[in-house]
Amino acid sequence: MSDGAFDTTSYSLLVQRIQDGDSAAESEFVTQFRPRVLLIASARMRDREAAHDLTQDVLMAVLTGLRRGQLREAEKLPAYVQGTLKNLANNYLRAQQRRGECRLDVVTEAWRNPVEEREWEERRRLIVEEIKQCSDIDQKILLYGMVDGHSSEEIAKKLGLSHDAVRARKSRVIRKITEKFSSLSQK
Amino acid sequence: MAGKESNPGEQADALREAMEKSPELREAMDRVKELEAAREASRAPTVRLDCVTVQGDEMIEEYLRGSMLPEAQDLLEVHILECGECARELEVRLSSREALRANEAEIRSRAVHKSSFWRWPSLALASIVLAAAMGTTYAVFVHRINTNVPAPVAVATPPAPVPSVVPPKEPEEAAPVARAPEANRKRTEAETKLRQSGEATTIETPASTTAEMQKGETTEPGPLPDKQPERQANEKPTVTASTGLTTEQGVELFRMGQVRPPTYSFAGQASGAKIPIGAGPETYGGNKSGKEGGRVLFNEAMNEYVAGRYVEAAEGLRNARRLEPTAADVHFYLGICELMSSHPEAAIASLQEASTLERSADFRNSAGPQLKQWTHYYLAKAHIQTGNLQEAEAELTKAVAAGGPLTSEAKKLLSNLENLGVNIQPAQH
Repeated sequence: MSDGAFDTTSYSLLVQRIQDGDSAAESEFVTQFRPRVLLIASARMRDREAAHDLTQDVLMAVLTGLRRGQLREAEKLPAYVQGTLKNLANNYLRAQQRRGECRLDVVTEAWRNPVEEREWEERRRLIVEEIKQCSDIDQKILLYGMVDGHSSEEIAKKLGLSHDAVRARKSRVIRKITEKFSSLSQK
Repeated sequence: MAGKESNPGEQADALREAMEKSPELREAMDRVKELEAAREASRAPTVRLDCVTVQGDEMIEEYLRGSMLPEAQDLLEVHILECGECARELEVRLSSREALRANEAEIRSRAVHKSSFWRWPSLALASIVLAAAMGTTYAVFVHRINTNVPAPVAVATPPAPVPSVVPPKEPEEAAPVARAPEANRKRTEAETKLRQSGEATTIETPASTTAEMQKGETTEPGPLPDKQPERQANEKPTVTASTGLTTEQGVELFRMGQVRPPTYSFAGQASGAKIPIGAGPETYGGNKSGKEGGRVLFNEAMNEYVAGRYVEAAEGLRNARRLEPTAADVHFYLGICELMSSHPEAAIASLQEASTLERSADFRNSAGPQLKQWTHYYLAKAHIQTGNLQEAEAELTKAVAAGGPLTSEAKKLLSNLENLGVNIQPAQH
């Protein structure tokens, strides 16, 4: 994932270039925003396939809007992207409920970036290994927190630990995973 | 349309309605999306989050749980789009969640087996061997100190630390409900005498069986041998060293903890289902799209439930729970799925959540008194599985009081629990 630092000046320039029809600016926009949009879409949809579809729709919608000059305050580009993402995610859920349609995996595959997918698989494999090395109690804490959606207080009560102990254990494991994660990203 | 240009929200709603009537208006829908995004951007708050707040206050976890206020969620997402470091934090947690899900069954089984009631049978077997080895010495010892009493069985506490034993059942003529407290009173008197005589020994046992063990208390010494005249010489209950239960009691408790899942029918979604699946989105208020999405996930999960795939159903219901955190039926069936997957502790949490929704509008809409009784009944089952008999008794009492098709079943289970002879403290109400 890119760590590119954004600022309002670069947003203004980027938006202006897109409005002027600069295709390189559009590529730059997609390169910068795509990983983070995909991340948020994955969190919202809880389905990576759907998140990929949604990401493409969001980027297309934002670019179309920018070309038409919909965004009047360029410094609000992230908010514009987020607003588009939120609306499309809600529309997607509504449409899915109404139609009960199945996805066209063949079509969506064409949008995939194989390098990105490979990296994602590698990161996931690494995290699985890291989690397996944790103690049973740490694994339970992660499971209850991240999968079951329990708060630290609830986990502490469930496991008979103090709230601070749960938080400390959880942050230690997350820190370890993040460090591994960062080292992989730097390779 | 030009006249509405100044109000993107209204225009979007009008176009969405038109879109629903005619699928050919795809282009109009694209326009709606643009206008909605423009509206959102124009409303974007000027408040900005900083990385310390995002990473230090468990905001990302709250976000992933879906328990954030919509406004806070918007702020966080905007920050994630702007900040690489926080985006990485989110990615780590997201990937961890997916990795955990992939290995969920393995982690749960490992974790649950460490504290589960269902390890009793193996412990009981080990205890039988231990008890048999100690039996001869034990009988000789008791016979020596009670020369006027027929050779007793394994009920007293010798000087050396040995497993404690629960008292025998009271005579059958006593009323079932009143018997347990009376037995406790007699036992307490006996124990007091024993302590005064200085012969008692307190033995620590694993905190995994009875209610008192759950609280981490030590078990009380057994009653005096001469307080057991009714027991026949050939009645030798096998005592489990680790749980303080006889094998028969353990087996009976195991049987009582077995669960038959409630049936579910899609046929009555509107009103006629055995358990109504929940009120329509219009009754919920709040985030309508979230509720609607939650219903879709709920129905998908219940397909798995009906097919008997409880692990998959639980997964789907957990997703539905994030979108419909106040839907009692989601929590209830998740609890059932956890029970059927041998996760009684997780089941308790879900069922208790369903129970706390008792006073909410959602509970009344989606379930009614029937689900109320079912929730207490299955909570009792879950407590029996974890060995928390005091809570089980309390939940069964509530199930009986709630009324419904399971009343006689709950009464029977309550009676069996009290007849079991395990030392259950009277439930506090």
